[in-house]
Amino acid sequence: MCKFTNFFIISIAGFNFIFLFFLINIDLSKIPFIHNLGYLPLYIIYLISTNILVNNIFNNTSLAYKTYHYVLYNFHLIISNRLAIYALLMIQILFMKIMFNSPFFLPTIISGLLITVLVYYLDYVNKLQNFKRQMIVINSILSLIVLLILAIDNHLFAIELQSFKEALINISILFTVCLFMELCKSIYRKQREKNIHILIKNKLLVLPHSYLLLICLSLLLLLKDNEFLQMIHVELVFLIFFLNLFALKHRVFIYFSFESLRQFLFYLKNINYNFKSLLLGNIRMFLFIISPHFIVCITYFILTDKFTVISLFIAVIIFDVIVGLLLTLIYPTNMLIKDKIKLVQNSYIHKSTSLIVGIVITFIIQKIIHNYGGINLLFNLEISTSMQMTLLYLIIGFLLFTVLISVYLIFIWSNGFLEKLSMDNFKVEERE
Amino acid sequence: MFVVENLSYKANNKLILKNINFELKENSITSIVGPNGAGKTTLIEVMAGVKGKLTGTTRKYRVVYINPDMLILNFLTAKEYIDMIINLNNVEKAEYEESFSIFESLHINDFWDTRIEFLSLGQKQKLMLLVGVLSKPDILLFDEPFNALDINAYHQAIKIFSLFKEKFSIFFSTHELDGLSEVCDKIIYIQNGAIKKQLTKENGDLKDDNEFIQLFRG
Repeated sequence: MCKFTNFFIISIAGFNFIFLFFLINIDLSKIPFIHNLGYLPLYIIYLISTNILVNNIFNNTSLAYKTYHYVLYNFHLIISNRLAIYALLMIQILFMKIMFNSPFFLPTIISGLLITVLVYYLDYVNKLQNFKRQMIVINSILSLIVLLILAIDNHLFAIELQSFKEALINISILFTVCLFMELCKSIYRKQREKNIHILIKNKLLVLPHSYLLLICLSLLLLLKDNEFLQMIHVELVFLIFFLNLFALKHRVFIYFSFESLRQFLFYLKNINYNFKSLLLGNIRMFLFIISPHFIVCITYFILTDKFTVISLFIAVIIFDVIVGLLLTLIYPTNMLIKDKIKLVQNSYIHKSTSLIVGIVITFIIQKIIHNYGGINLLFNLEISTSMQMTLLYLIIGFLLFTVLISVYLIFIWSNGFLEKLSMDNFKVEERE
Repeated sequence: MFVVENLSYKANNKLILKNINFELKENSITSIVGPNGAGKTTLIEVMAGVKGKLTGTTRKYRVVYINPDMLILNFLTAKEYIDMIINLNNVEKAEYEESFSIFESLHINDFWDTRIEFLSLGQKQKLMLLVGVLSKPDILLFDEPFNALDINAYHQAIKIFSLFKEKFSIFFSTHELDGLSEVCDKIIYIQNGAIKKQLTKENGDLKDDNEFIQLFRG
């Protein structure tokens, strides 16, 4: 290493130290330019720089220590990215100083707490490789919260402070419920079941939770004074949940298909494995995977005093699962080619969810038309009207009917599946 | 007795197996040998119900076919995989411990906590042998079980086969001919999808390896 390089490194280190001292001690609020600038441009700079730095840190760090303890991993992370970490620290200090007396201080604290909780949580599930992804998620949540505060600060939404506090408490309840469910999932993951699919689905159980639902519900809670959103918020929760479910199905159903077991299927056939129980185990497992999502939604309904909607919501979820199963049984996938499985699953498994999403969108549209176009309301999920009860009875009746057909089809399927299971079919389809 | 009668199998309009007839006695070891493309793997797969239709079996046996391709759950460690097999087959703890102690000679412990995706082919073969034993078969079918095993592991595996013969019958294909006459009760020589010769210990045809090695030359 030449003398110039040494000098350069020492200079940078010295400058960084002086800059840190300067940042801590100077009263930035007295500088008129910063004082008059307003929060929005500053916050945009803050978000962009934080995101770039966080991405940079995690992209350039080898995960050599990931199998060791997280403290070692974090040390490695900090030392190998010291300049980026230092810059991140500078930005945090700068913004804390500027925004100490503003609502921006709150998101900074929240971000710090979330990261701490996350590090411990990730250590628990031993999934440090998800860290980068989770950091980006935290940044996104933070962005949303701060942008919302900005919107409130600029009187874009007329929200009173009292209702804002209530909303924040409700949001924290939602997050706590979600974290609790994630913890339950982690504990469940550690248990062994006789179901062979549990081993594949262990992978699914550590999939990071989708924050889309939580963020949307938090926004709805914060904007509960908004008349328009208040009018359609129940339908919106249904819509968000089932759109989320749609995405989840697309993501996980390859793991639920028997064909994904490929050659291992023949072993199961040899040892006379009970495929019927595997099918029912799949349904249980899927319900377990979606449980944090629907429990968060139910918590939302409880927090917003919409108790009458809960039974309907649960009925619709069961309806979705049963109809999804029924459609899969009607169109069984007896081929072993991965692309074809995807094709069949996309065509049939998602149909039940698409149907529900379609119905909910119709509800929302007819409500808007009713409100602004003066046309009479036909359906309403929110109020316990006779129409809603009729809808509930209709769903329950249809559910009973589909359960009976499903039981019959499971019986036919479990016998036929083993008979059809032959490498000859596989080879024929491969040629096609 | 497991009897295969008049078994033929066709794929792509080509006759792969031609009128196969043989029987497997209980608690016996049978090996099928022959040149590449003779139909050994296809015969095992038909016997396992993986393809075609088996003809001639009079009694329903628990036939278990083992091959390394079934290790698709490669994110599991060897131990987790065996735990799953134990659960699937309701294997008693004592039974498992007894089997595992026999397999220690194959140094299974060396890769016990390694994920399957990082195992070598030889290690996978050793793991599959243990899977076969724990699957409570009446007849254990194995396509080339000694493939990729080193010489010591090969001899240990042969010893293990002899030990487990008391519990179930074993039928395997192989290209390793050294010491086969010692361990096998029957050796079937197959060529172009048809059985050319069956040598049995019972009839005194299997005194040493030369008895069937000359079939390859011949």
